[in-house]
Amino acid sequence: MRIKSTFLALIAGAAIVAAACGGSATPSSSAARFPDGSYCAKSLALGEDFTKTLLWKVCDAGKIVISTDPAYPPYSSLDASGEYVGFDSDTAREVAKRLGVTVEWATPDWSAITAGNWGGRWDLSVGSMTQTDDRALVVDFVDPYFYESGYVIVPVTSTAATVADLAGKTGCAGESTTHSTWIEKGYADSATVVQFNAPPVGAKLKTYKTDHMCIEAYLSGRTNDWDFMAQSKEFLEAAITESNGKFKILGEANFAGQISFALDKSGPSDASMLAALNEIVAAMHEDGTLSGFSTKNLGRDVTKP
Amino acid sequence: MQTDAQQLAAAVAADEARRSGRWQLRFRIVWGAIVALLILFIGVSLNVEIGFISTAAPFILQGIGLTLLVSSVSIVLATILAAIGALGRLSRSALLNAIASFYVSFFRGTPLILQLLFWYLALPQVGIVLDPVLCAIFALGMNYGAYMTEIFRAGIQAVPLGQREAAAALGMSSRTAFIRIIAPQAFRIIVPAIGNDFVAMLKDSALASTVSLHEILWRAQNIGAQKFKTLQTFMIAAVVYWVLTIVFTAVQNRIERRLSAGDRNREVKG
Amino acid sequence: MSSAIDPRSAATPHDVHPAEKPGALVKPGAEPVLKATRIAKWFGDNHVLRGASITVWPGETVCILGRSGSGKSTFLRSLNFLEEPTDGRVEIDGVVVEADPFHTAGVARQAQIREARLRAGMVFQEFNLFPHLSVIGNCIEAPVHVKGMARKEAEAIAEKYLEKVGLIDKRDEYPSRLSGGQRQRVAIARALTMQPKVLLFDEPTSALDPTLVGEVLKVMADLAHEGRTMIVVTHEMDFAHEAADRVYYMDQGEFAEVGPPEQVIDAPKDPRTKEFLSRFRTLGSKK
Repeated sequence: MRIKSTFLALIAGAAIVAAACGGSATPSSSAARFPDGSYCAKSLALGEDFTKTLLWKVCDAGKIVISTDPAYPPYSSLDASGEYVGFDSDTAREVAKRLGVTVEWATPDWSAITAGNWGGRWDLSVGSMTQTDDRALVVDFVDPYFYESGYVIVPVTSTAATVADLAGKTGCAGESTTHSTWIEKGYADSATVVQFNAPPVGAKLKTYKTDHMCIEAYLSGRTNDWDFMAQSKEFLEAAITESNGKFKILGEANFAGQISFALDKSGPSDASMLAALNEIVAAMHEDGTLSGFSTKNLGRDVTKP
Repeated sequence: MQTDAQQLAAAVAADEARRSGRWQLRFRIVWGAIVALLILFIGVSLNVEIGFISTAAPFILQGIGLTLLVSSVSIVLATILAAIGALGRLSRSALLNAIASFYVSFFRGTPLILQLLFWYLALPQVGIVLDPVLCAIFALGMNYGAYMTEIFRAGIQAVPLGQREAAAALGMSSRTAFIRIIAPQAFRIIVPAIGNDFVAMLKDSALASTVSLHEILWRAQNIGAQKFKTLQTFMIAAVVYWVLTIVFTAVQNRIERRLSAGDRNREVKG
Repeated sequence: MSSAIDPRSAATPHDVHPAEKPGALVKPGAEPVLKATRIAKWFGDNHVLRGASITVWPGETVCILGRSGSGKSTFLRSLNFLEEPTDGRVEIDGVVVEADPFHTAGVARQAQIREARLRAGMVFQEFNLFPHLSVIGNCIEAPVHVKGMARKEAEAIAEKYLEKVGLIDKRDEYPSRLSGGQRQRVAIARALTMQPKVLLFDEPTSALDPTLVGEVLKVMADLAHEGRTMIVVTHEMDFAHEAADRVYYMDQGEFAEVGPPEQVIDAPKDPRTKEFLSRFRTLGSKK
């Protein structure tokens, strides 16, 4: 809807008075502090009562707190100079830029992100989260920004030739990851995840707080810890490289998931934020930004289904 | 002209000095040997990559500031709480005594990491979102405050009854007697304990890595995880903590020595 | 100080022992500076004090003798309420405090006790100097922080008394560097700096090395001779004999015999006093 500028000025004036009186502020004329064409600038220009929404909270603060994993290369990792680098980090910074705010990083445990109830500690997850039915109960997913498949590695000494050969074996994965869910029960009934291979029959699940501990435990000499490990192709390839070829990828992808940003369902009303992010993601697909980030960080384009 | 007795005394003193010197030497040799063995073991068996460590170490060292900040603010908070708590425990008021004793019981009776997670995860459910740094300070400060309450109480009670009586006989009110006579003496008893707790807190502050405080341990975990080399970065962190405790133990010893200056030469008799 | 005076004091009957007569240095017509009336003390079932009374005129030195456990220290400590008596009444220089066994009196009584304590300085067996304060600091602590005296003024008074006890050269020393005898002399100077009306000595030489007893007793004898009012609980017969105007012999919480030292020490009448003194002599007293 369009509103005449005089009316906008009135609202702005009222807002200043309200703020001066110590009441709850409505978006003020400070729209000017956001870059032209950014979502915060556009949204504030609409002049509606945002006070209860996530978008207003973010725009008003001038920053968005995004949860990330500091040790999940090549998607996100903290380099030695303290900068976050990787596909997720680049994407997150670009999203904030298009919103018209700056990024502040939060680094909670992965299980704390997927459990919802963030309590306002961070506003958005840009962390390679695969959409699942369970997670959708506590978080709202933005349209996917890339697509990821779950793979399995085994030690090079393993005699297994297919996933089915791993029946009854122990599989390692990070806590609360899609990969741990696949090992535990598979995605045969999922509405969002496409399953190509059922998990090994009777497989036992072993989890660590983070995925990399599976690899570190094995490399430290705990070689009986697990018989196979499930993760994304990029992660597993990095593990093979860093370990000088102690593992090998077994077969092809076992499932494919849609990877999305996530918003806390229990937080402030996020409908306007969701709409804004969907538009931003669509535009970033459209103009090749996401493909560029993918090629730069992963060496290939994972942003197409 | 020395007498035989003087010569004997000099010989005994020289012998004692020689023995003490030899003991010191042996002590240092054993220390050096243990450290050398440790380095050898780590170097040979743990696949230490100097190149990796030299890139990871600066990142980890940046956490020292936060570790020191959290530890020092927490020890100040703990000291204040302990002083209040000890007064409560010594109070004749059933109300104050009960509150203080509940505080001590609860915060000593539950794991520090649970208290930390409570500040971090439980409070946001009622709309209070504390910065992780504050969560760590509250958790460490309240927990250590509970332990130190009992130390403070013992310190106050360790001041001889005669001091209270002398103060009372001079007409001091119990408040004046506490402030002017009891507290300064209790303080000398308590200071070493505060120092010990500070050194312990330097290490316990590592728990704050679980609420994503970017202190030494958190940095070691995350810089190491990227290359599947946390073992090496943990070793760096261990050395950093160790050096910190050595430094602050030395500082503490110096403060203690200065404080006890007034009580020196206790055995001098006129 | 008129507010501190209990109007009942004049009307309250007081037990004056027939032998309690003002000493040689007491000015004629002077009122007693300390009157303790029927002080009783129970420790649980143990009847430690059985209604002991004492009257002391200004300028007098009185000594309280008695075997260990007779209650003489408890009696002395009841005079300034370091020990709360179960019954009785103490009047020091017009300030009256009654026993309060059921803690029914409020803060006003506490203030009254502090008033009484300002008038009665105390010297302890164990000295109880403040170890964190220097000699001069020990002396001026209470004058400055209780009486609100200016530091300079307090120091001048303290120095006068340190001079008197012969320790002015230890003015800035800490107690830990002093001998036992020196510590006790500082404790005396500390009590004097408060300018009390009466000094209470609780076995002041019992914790001392025998070679150091003399220097403390000499200071006390000097004070006695210059007309300080003193109540001394002691085992030092020579001192009592030489310095006391009157001697009280306590047995099982009561004063068994009261009188001048020539009578109580040299020619006791009461069989209990006799027995005590005979033991004392066989144990090697010089007398």
